[in-house]
Amino acid sequence: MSQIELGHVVGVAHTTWRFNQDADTLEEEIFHCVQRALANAGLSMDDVTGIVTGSSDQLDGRSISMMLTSGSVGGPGREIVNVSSSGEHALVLAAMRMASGRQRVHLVVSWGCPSEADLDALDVLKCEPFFLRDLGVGRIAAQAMAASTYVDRFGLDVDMLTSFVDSLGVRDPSESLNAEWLSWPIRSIDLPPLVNGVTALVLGTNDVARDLGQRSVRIAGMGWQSGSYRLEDREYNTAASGADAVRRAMIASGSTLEQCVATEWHFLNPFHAFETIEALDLAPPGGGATWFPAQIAKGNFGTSYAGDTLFSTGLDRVAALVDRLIGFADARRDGSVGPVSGLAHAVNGFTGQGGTAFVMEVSK
Amino acid sequence: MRGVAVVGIGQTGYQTNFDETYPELVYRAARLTLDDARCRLADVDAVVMPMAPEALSGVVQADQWVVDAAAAIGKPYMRINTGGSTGLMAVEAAYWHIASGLADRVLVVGADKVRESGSAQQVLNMIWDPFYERAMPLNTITMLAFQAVRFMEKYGVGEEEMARVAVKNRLNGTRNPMAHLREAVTQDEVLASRRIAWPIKLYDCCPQSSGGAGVLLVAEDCLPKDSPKPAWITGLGCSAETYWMGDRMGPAAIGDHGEAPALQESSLLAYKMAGIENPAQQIDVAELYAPFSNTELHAIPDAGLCAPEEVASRLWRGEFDFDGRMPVNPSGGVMCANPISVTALVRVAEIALQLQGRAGDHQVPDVRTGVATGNGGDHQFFGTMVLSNEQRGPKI
Repeated sequence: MSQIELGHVVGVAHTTWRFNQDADTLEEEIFHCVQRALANAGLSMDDVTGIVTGSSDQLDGRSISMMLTSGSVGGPGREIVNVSSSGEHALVLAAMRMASGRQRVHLVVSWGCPSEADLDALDVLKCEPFFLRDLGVGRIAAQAMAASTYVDRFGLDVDMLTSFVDSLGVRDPSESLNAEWLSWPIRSIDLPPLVNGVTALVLGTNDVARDLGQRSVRIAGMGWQSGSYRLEDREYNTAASGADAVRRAMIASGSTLEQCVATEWHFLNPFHAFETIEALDLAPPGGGATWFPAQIAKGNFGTSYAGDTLFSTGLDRVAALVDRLIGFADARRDGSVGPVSGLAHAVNGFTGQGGTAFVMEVSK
Repeated sequence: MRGVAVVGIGQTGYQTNFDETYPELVYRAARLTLDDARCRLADVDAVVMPMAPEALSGVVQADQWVVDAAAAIGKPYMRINTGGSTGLMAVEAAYWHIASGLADRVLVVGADKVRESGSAQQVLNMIWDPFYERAMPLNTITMLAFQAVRFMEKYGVGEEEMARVAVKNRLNGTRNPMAHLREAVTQDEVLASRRIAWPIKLYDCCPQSSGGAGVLLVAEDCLPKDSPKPAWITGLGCSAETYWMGDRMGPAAIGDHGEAPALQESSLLAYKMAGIENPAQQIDVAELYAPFSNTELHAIPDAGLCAPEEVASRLWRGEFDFDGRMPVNPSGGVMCANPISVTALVRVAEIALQLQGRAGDHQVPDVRTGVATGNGGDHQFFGTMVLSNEQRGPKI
């Protein structure tokens, strides 16, 4: 078990709203989500001592997005900082601040608002200007390059592999029949649905968690790392950094994947899912697809197929895990009182370039 | 809590543009920093990158592009983004990596190529909300012209005082080989320079700079062998203003646009942590984030270095000069180089150099404690860092 006290999640809220839907402004959505997280914790903004936000300027359509949204999260007059490498990095930084003893109640908020962005233009502008931009290797094309490498490496049947998405039960399988090819071997049905969303977590110290007297979820360990921007330098692998982050988090927490009663995964597409499972030695090379049916049957895991904001999805996986662990603990009927652990996995950067993982633990 | 020190410092120098690409600048800054610290790449536990606004580089999320150049492959990595204060906030983030016990050595490295964007002010116009302020049209110069007018009215200073600040900083810049602007200007030249947004004139403004910089932070028990003398981070803090400038004006204001309450708050936090009760007496040198001459006039009192009513008289007495009682921006400051993403990091680096006795021709004698500040957004996000050549237990 980690000797470093990274804090407890004492409040959580997350919201998604789909494209082209009349909704509040982004600032209003963030404000409401933060208020719900604080209410969930039984705290108010007056209790908050520090804030870390995670925002993407280009997705939000502003040169420095957090300027406007700072007010929605209670930034004025508080120790606030913003990360822009990924939404879940906001939790990493907040946990380090908690571990240092600087903060007592800390807010972590991230969001993604892809409906407001010209994603095709961003795809081009995200490519470095010397090689990739001229080739047009954007988000989907890069994923397809990695996926096709995976398929070729093992001589796999694409139709069989992509039925994975249907098996998750997140949409009608009949949609798969006419799904368009985006870039072989990826079809539109293979990608998680893009959504706008906000996730807010309230962290508290051991004392705060104890004083609140309700279930809280301890951050037992975390790991994060980046890989090369260049897919060719990663041998077109999109899963290595995410898997390494999981290993780091497991070592930090003293847990194993087998001990996790629930897992939440950030998958870019089915092939990335299979590679991730294989990189963690949960399935043999080329056999990642075989791992999922049993897990789906157990019902103890979730994925980014619930909705992908393109930036805060990793933090949303953490929030989903917190909900799942508390639900698991609440529903326990066997009289046991020991801790239960879960894993949240996230990826970031250019096509799985970076990875982050958190091992969370609930006890009572 | 563990002591954390700056040991390695790397700067590429600053100029209008470089033939090197953005990753090449970052790589050079990383190499210079690690070499300076006598630290091997393999011994770096994590990397933090400052970058803001990314639109200046012309590549969306360009930090992902430069992970390789920043020596971050296979290491924990994150990017901080709080506008102009990003560089100092990145150092603060690195501090928490070490103070928490999760890392022993953290590299903070970045670069900017502001001229790549063509018009930086066009990019900076887009920091404002699209409904009210963007259309005015605001940019960082007009925003701070409002600030200047308010400060002038409140404290009775004028364009002469602004020019005096510019003369001081430009003279300081002549002693700093890294500075972008290295030619002195006279009081008359500043006052006669082209008006940009009254009362700000051309020579009251910072340049659009490119360049890279880095610092290596190390835990007290992991100092590299033969590394430069450690500059200990003894205090830090940050705070924010409201985004809406209108809410900093008028009878219902929750701040004062002429000053920076958040800089006062961040400085109080940092001084408290460092055990400093009287910064005007206990601080020996300051590197304050002041891209325009008028912003230094409020930053000095907001950082607790004198009362606001005294700043003009002390300025004329030369107290903030290089050889004054409280040298402010002996490097020439932001007015002599502003590679935005790393500008506030350079403030920390310059204080560290002063504490290490390695500031060369702009070395201030007998420096024991210094303060660096950062300012980002629309005069919104402020950070303060206190460094000392004596290791003291930080008071969290």
